[in-house]
Amino acid sequence: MRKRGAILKMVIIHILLVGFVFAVFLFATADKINARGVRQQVLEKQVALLIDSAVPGMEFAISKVNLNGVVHKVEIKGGAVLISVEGLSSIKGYPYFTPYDVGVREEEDKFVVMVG
Amino acid sequence: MNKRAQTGDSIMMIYQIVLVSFIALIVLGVSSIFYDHYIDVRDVESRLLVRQVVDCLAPEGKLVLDDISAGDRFEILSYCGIAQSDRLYVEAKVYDDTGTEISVLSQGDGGAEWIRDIYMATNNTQERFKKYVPGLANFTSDISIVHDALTFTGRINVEAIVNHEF
Repeated sequence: MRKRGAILKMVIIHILLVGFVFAVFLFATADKINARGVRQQVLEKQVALLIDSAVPGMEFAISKVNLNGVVHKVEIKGGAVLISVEGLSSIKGYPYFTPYDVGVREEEDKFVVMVG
Repeated sequence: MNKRAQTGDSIMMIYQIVLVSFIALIVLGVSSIFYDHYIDVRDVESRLLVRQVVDCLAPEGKLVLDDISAGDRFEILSYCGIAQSDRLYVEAKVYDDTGTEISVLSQGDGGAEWIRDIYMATNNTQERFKKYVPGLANFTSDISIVHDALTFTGRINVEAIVNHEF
């Protein structure tokens, strides 16, 4: 009886561990497949190019509900644009090189990037 | 179950968990590579950089070389207020109307030029190396030049190279 109990306990632990590894793997793969990283890359590069091509006084809006997903945050930090898409935070963003000052203001349904 | 058998079962379980984790990691790695996509905007960036440098050096088509100090001629991005980066290289050559080079203005890693030459020489660059090919733009225009207090017509050739951001 004691032997059976020990085997059952070990099998349950085994199943739980394999299930855990499988769940982690599934979430990580799903995260890759939904392409949040690619959509973030698209938005960051688009915004960086818009900044580089803008002349002083220009403003452009990024809707929070965007074609590339829900935009949570737009930041201008250290000469780079950082955009959080669908909860995926940006680590280093994409650099721009415009000689003009760049800022962001948040409105109800959009972020407005100002160059000038 | 004796103690030895229990130890053996535990070792087997660790081995199986490690094996499952290893297979999961391999599948994850392969799917990461498969679903990863790099969007190359360096050619566009190099064109924008050329435009900004030309607008800065010769606004309305007039380049006053006398206003640019000898030191600034090798820090042309800083002179124009453009953010410096290891990725950027700009070279502007100024010629008089006879085609004689009268000044070179530049900034950035000059090594980018020979990297570009290597890629240009090997047109059949493999797909996996393409993301390392620098963005390149070149622009030539006739301008009015003020040099040593003399005003004459000449030509400016601006080349910009934008390297990868990795």
